[in-house]
Amino acid sequence: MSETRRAISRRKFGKASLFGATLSAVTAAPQQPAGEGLSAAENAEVEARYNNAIRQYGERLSDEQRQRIRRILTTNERMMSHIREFPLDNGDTPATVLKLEGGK
Amino acid sequence: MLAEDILYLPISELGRHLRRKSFSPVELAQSYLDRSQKVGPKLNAYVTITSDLALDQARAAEKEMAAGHYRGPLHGIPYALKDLVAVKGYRTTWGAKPYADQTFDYNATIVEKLNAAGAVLIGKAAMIELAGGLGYSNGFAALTGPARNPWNTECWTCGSSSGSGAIVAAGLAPWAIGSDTRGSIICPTSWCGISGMRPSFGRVSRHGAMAIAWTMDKLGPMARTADDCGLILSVIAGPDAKDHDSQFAGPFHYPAPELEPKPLRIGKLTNVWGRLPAEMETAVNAALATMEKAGARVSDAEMPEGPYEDAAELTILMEAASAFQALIRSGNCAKLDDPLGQINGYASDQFSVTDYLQVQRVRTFLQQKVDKLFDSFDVLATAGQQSVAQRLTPGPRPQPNQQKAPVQPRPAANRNAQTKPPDGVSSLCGLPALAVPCGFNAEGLPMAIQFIARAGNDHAVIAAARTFQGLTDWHKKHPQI
Repeated sequence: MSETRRAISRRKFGKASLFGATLSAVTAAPQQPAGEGLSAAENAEVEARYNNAIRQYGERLSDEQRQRIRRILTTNERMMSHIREFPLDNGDTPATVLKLEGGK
Repeated sequence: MLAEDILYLPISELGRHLRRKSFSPVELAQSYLDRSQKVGPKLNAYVTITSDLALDQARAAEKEMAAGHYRGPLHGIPYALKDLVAVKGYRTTWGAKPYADQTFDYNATIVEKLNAAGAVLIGKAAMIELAGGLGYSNGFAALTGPARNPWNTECWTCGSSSGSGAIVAAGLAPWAIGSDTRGSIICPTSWCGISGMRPSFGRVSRHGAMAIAWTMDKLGPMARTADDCGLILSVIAGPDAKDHDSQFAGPFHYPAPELEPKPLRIGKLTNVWGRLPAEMETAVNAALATMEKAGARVSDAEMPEGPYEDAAELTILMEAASAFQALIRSGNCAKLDDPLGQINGYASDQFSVTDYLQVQRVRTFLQQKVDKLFDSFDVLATAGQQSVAQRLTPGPRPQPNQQKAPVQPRPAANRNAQTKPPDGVSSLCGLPALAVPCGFNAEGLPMAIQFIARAGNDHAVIAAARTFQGLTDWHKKHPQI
């Protein structure tokens, strides 16, 4: 990755962060109880994941544990939100490597 | 039983005594075993004390040494092993009730290497359940009870290598193996006033060790000095076809070949931790001033911006959900002690594959940004932890970024680094780190400085910490037991 590309991306990240924060503040306002600072789409994703967790594991969980899982999913979504703000291009590869066995 | 001062000697000096026959490997092992049996339970330091194995290994070492055969720096030297590493025929509990009776019919690679070096295993060290892999709230989340800090038994050792920290600090063994996914060696090292090293990712084989997050797990030494850490690393490091993430083709030589002397370039991190306690800030500054007087070049450095902490946390959550999938889906996670650990896996099971790949794509970018910093510095330096050892309380453990003192607001672009610990960055990017004591607070609890280097440059953190320990004697102090 070139230096120019890095520098541009760093600036873009700063702008993206500000934009993301503003957007979240606007869209999340009516949804405060669910996930403060999350967009409507992100809150919907939390809800979908919560419902799936309850579908899978609900029989094992008390009401208190269910509430805690919702809070955890909200926290996880907030962290993912920061990741999604980070600008990436199509060619940016993940830090996962297929290590060839090469006859070992 | 040998005198307490002997039991607090570093490895190199113990080895010198063994070669001079001041005492024998059996006497040394028996002394540590006696002390471990007497003091260990008060600190909840061990899961298992391996007396028979230790004495067998010590007798074998004694016989070989009597015949003039010395295997190297760890020959006849006792140690403890975090209980997430497999030792054939002995319980390996991972610190957790669901695995309380687990045994393996093979040795981990690190154990094979230590056996070949003639080291003497005193016991399996206590740890936080699953090394915190499914989350935990406080130091009570351990099969053997909370590990107590030898400097003040009302305080915790930190985790997850909690027993390893207690054992070394209390002189129950001269060194121990810990594991570090994100701070689990550096934190107990700092709180227990010892010297501990997280090697570069892929330097030490994890074959036979419990996995939390395959792309972040490391095994490393916790000892009396940085020099000890180098000696231990030279034995346990090296390629291993059984560990898919083994990264280095050759052995790790220590001491390193002599290079042309040049001033050590130290970057003092100014944008991590938030506001440190005044006495800790003073201790770290004094440590760096000492190094500067001895010729090091110290200047300010800033971690680049980026969502390092989030990426590190998410990587651990996602990989742990896979590593512990059988435990989660069977519902046996309900048997864990910690209320968070009992359910956290259910939430982590909801991440998608694109979530994981997105995090890993950002991670590549962050790695490149952090690496660039080391064009200007040999090592980065900051406090080992944000606080001294905290009191053991059953409530939620304080999060590293929860500040008591108000933090001055900074620009949004730099928000992730401003108050965050450096552990997320350095663990996410596989960087080596080494923490050593640099003072004591008013209550007599240890404070630490840590050095962080470019991935693969393990020699740099050892050299920096060794230089500091050559100028000071904080590492020679030990608690009254």
